[in-house]
Amino acid sequence: MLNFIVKRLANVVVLFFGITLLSFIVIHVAPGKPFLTMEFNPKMDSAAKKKIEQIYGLNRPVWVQYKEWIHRFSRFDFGYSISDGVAVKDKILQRIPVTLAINGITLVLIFFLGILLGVSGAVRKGSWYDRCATFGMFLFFSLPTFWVSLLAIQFFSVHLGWFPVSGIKSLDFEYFSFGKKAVDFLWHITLPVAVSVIGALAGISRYVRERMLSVLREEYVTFAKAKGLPSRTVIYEHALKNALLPVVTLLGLSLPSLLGGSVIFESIFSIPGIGRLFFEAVMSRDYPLIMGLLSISALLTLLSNVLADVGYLMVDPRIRLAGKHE
Amino acid sequence: MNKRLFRNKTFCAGAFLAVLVIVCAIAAPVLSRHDPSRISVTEALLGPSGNHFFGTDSLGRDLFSRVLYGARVSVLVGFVAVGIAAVIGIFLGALAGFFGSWVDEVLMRFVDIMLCFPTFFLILTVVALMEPSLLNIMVIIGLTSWMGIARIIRAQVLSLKTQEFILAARMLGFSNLRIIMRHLIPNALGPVIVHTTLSVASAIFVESSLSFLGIGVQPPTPSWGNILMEAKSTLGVAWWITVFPGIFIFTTVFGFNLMADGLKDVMEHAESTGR
Repeated sequence: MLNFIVKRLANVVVLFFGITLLSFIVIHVAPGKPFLTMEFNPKMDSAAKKKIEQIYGLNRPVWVQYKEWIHRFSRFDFGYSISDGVAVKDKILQRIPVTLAINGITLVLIFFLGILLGVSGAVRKGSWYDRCATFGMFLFFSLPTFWVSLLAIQFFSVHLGWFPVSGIKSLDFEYFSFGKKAVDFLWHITLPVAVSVIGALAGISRYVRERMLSVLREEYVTFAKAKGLPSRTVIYEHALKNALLPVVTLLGLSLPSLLGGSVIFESIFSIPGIGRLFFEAVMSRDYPLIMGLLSISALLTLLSNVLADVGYLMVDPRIRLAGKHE
Repeated sequence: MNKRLFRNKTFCAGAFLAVLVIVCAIAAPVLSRHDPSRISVTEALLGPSGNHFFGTDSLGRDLFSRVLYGARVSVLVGFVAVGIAAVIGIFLGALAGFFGSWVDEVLMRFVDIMLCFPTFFLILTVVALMEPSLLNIMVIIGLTSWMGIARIIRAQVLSLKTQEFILAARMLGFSNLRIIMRHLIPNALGPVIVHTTLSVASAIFVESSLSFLGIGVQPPTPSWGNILMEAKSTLGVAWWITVFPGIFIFTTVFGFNLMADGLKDVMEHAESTGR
């Protein structure tokens, strides 16, 4: 098992270098320079430009810059943001908790709701409930997240006034007690979380349903039924465990699309998370910040995949024991 | 198999919706009664009526015409982007499957890298750094969505290349290129079709999201995404600007998803009964 983890981690390192190298090339080969936005500043003459280029090392070949970036990265130093000179690490650390909180809550909700919907559909395959649920999930799957967000704001925030239109805290947030702060935060993120759950739930629940259906056809399930076990035990104790394993991996793989989606709903709901930070960084051509964010999100994705694999390993005795015998 | 395809209700419903949108896109100049870019301040923010079916936007432009012309952008992006992705995916997948060893190793590692990328971040970066033109958007969506196709083709080629007809082709002395292009790829295409249909839907999604963020298709060219971006500022005042373009995005994506689902059913059935 240790062997397996080491192998996976080695793989992560290779993938990580690949991803960062690719991002680096994309960013630096694209036409335009970061200080284009300063072009209109009358104090910017060619000498000042050269100086800025020198400070950020932009005048050197791309591969030298990449080597230096890797060198700095090994010390968790992402450099300084070009637009305001603040350390990239601080900027990211300041913004990441909100995004992680929202995506974390979303992942947990998708996991449980997806299992609930998938299993209940599979068990009653072909019933009107199953057909409605399948069709409904199919509809959800085709809904554009940003459109749903707009409609949700229009209806729940503007029309009914149940939820705030944007932001993550009320104006007088600072004066709240801890409990009230938490409630206020949850109240603000309800709509964004609901919208991203709707976006991602359909895929997971469809998958759980299909897995569950194929597991229910297996012989050991028939055997368990023949033995006279109550169907509840058969479904939840015997079948579900096996159906769930690949779902864990799937959840790990859904992180990139969740992070990508956070760019959209963070800009709609004005949430100060890394999605919006990334958008701002890209718009102002802030190279160090873009690189920092890309590598952090790649790292998060890769680590969550490894975690999912290791989790898989710990839950499934077939793989775990097979490793021991080797 | 064709017969069974047209008897599949899911596929037909999906195809109907997709064709409807494609017709809207092609016949936009005939179907619309107003110029999509004609500004008329006196007619700003009118609700839906007999003259303006979907109402007007904040500059008094006819929303119905704009949505119809927006269909052109979406359909074009959907097909061209997926075309690019299909060419790359089929080619790289066939190479990896056919040659195996280090070629396979390198290509599949590359696929892994691309799959672990938060693709939307990459697309955002490239589109923002380059000029956000329609061509760039189609190319970048194509360049970031070929991985699934490559994996499917590779798996197909791996199982096909040991079969007798490939052996026969080799004995006849055909070149590798000819075997790949004429014998392996045509036979490996089946399962790719489902994936490609789904990709059209997701390409349309990505384009509208980019335009919604303001870095996709640039005004004054109407696209569903950038109409919705304008809708953001009239939220609570003009519901029609939010509702109609969204319904069109949804209908298109839903249509392609339904088609893919129907195709999958028919193919699985054909496989299990030996066609």
